[in-house]
Amino acid sequence: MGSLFGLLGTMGSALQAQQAAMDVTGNNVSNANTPGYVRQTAVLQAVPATADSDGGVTVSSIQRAFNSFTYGQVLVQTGLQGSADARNSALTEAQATIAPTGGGAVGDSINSFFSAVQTLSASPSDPSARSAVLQQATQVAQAFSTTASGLQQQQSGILTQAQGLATTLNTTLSQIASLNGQIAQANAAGQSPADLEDQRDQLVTTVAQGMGASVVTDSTGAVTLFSGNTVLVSGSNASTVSVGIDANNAMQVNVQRPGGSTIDITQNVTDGTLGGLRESRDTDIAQSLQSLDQLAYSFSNAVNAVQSSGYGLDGQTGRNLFTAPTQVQGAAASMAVDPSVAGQPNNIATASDPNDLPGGNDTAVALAQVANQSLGSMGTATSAFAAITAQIGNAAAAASTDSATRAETVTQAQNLNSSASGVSLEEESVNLTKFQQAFEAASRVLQAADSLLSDFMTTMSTN
Amino acid sequence: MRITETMTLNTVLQSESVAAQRMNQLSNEASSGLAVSQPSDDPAAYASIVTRTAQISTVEGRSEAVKVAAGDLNLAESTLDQAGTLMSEASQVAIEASNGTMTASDRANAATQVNSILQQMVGLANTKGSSGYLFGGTKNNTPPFDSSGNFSGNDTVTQVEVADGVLAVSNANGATAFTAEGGTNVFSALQGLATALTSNDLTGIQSSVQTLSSAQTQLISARVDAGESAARLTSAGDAMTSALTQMQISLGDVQDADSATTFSNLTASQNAYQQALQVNKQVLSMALSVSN
Repeated sequence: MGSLFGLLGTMGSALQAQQAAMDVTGNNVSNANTPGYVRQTAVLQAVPATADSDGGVTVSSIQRAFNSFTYGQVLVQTGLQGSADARNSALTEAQATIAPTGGGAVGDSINSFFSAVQTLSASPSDPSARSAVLQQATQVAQAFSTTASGLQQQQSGILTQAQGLATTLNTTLSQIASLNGQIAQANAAGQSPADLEDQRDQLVTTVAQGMGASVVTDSTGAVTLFSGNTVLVSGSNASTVSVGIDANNAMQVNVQRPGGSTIDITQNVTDGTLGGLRESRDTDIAQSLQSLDQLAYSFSNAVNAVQSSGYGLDGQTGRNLFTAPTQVQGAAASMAVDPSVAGQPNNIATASDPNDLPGGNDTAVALAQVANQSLGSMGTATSAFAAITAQIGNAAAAASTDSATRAETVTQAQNLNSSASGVSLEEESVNLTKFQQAFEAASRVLQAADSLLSDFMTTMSTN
Repeated sequence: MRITETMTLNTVLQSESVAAQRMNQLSNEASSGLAVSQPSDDPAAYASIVTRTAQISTVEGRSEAVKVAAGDLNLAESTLDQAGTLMSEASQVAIEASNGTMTASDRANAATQVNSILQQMVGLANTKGSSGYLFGGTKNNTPPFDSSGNFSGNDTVTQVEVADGVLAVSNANGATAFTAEGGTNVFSALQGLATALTSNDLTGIQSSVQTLSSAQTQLISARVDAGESAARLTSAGDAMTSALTQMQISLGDVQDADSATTFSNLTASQNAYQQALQVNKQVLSMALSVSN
C-alpha cells in the first residue's frame, strides 16, 4: 500500500541512484583522456515493491564497457608496432653508419685508393704519389674499421637497451601480478575492481609494446599473460625476463619461473621492442658486419697478393700493404696498414722486377687492376660494397614501411577499441542531462510529498 | 559505430603525422637535390650509384695517369725532335768537313762545334719529365747518360691502363733512340766525328757522314714512336673525358631529384599538411565546445 512516508523513501532512492549515475558520468568525463580507461555505466534497476517499501530504483552494478576482442587487437597491433619501430630506428642508425650521407664510406675510400694507385702507376718514383697511396690505404683501413666498430657499438648499445627494457618489463610484470591479486580479492568481496582492471590492462599494453603479449581472463578476474609462447604472469605470480648473449654473441632471452626453473624463449621473441631489437641486432646488423668482414678479408688479401709480389724502392719484396687478416670474422674491425709499410711510402711495391726500380710500374698497374678484379663470389670490391648498402637499405626501407603501416593499424585498433570502450563526451553530456533531469524531477516529487506531509502535520497540530 | 573524441583526435593526429613525414622527406629531396641520399630511399638505385661512382672514379684515376704519361711522351717527342735537329747540324758539319779544301785548323774548330753538339745531345738525352728522366727506361731516378754518353738506364717499357685490361705504352725508349740497341750509338757517332775532325782524318770524317745519317734516322723514328704513343694516350684520354660526361649524366639520372616534380610534390604535401592542421584545429574546437 502506498504511503507518503513510502514515497519519501522511494524518492530518496531515486535521488541516490541518479546521483550515483551522475558520479559515474563525472568519472567518465574526468577520465576521457586517461590512457586505458574503460567507460563505466551505472546499471539502474527498479526495486520491486514489497510490504516494506514502495519500490524505487537502485544502482545494481557499475559496468565496465570492456571488449576483450578489440582490446586483444590493440595488444596484437601494439606488439607488432613495437617491433617495427625498434627495428626501424636501429636500421636507420646502422644505415647511416654504413653509408653516411656526408661521404667517407668504405666505397668512397676504396675509390680514392684506386685513383691514387692509378696516379702512382704513371709516376711510380714520385714521393708525393707514393704518400698519397699510403694515405688512401690508411683511409680504407680506417673506413672499414670505423664502420665495423660503429656497427659493433650499435649492437652492444642495442643489448644494453634490451637489458634495460627487460628490467622495466619485470617491474611491470610484477605490478600486473599484484593487481591480479587485488582484482580477485575485490571480486570476491563484491567490490568493483573496474579501476584496478583499467590499470592492469594498461600495464599489459606496455608489456605488449615491450615484447608482445596476449591475455586470457579467468573466473576470478585475473589475467594470464602470454608472451614469446610462454606464460609470464599467472594469477599473482610473475616470471622474470632476462637478456644476455650466447656463445655466438647473439642476444638470448631467458624467462625464470617463480619456482626457479629457467627457459630460453629467444627464438619466440619476435614482437614488441625486444623482438625488433633482436632482429635488427642479430639478423640485419649481424649480416652487414659479416659481409663487411668478408669484403675486408678478400680485399686485403687481393691487394696483398699483388703488393707482396712486387718490389719497393728499397729493392725489398714480400711486404703486405694491409696487415694480413687471420680470419674473416673481425677482419673489418682490425684492418690496418701493415707495419712494414706504415709510414714508409717508399716501401710500397710498384715494380715486379728489382732491376726495373724505380721507374717500373707493372706492380702498380696490377694493383690498380684489383679494382676490377672479382673477389670470390662477391664480384669486385665496389659491387660487394654496393651489395652491402643494398642489403641494409632494403632492410631499412622495409622496416620504415612496416613502421608506418603499424602506426596506422595501431590507430585503427585503438579506434575500434575506443569505439567500444572509450568515453564519448557528447554521450556523457546527454547522460548528464538525463540524470540531472531525473534528479530534479525526483526532488520536485520529494518537495510535493514534503509539502503534503507538512500540510497534514499542521492540520493535525491545530486540531 | 560509436565515435569518441579520442578516435577523432587519433585519426587526425595520424594523418597529420603522415603528412608531416611526407613533407619532411620531400623537403629533404628538394633541398639536397638528391632523389636517393641514403640506401633506404631506393636500395637498388643506391647500389647502382655506388658502382657507377666507382666506375667514374676509376676512369678519372686512369685519365689522370694518362695525362701525366701523355705529357711526358709529348716532352720526349719534342726532345727527340731537337735531338734530330742537332744531329742534322752535326751531319752538316761532317759533310762540310769531308770536303778536301778544309784546313786542319778549320777541322779543329769544327771538332769543337761537334763536341758542343755532343754535350747538348747528352743534355737532351738526360731530359727530366714529370716522373723522372725520360730516356732512362725504368732507371729514371738518375741521369741515364754520363757526359760521354755512356748509358746506365734500361729499355724496360712501362704501360698504363687506358681501359679495363687495355694497356698503352707510357714511356719513350731511350735505349733504342740513343744507344747501339737502336742500331747506332748516337754519342759514339758524334765522338767518332769529333775524333776524326781533331785528327784531321778525312776518311774517318767521310765514314762518319754515313753513321751520322743513320743516327739521325734512328732519332727521327724514335720521335715518331714517342709521338704515336703520346697520340694514343691523348686519344684514350679524350675518349675517357667524353665517357666521363656520359657516366656523370647517367649517374645524375639515378641520383638526382627531378626538381619540377619534387617541388610540385612538396607543394602538394605542404597543402596536405596544412589541411590536416586545419582539420585538427576544428576538431579540437568542437571537442572544447562540447565540454562548455
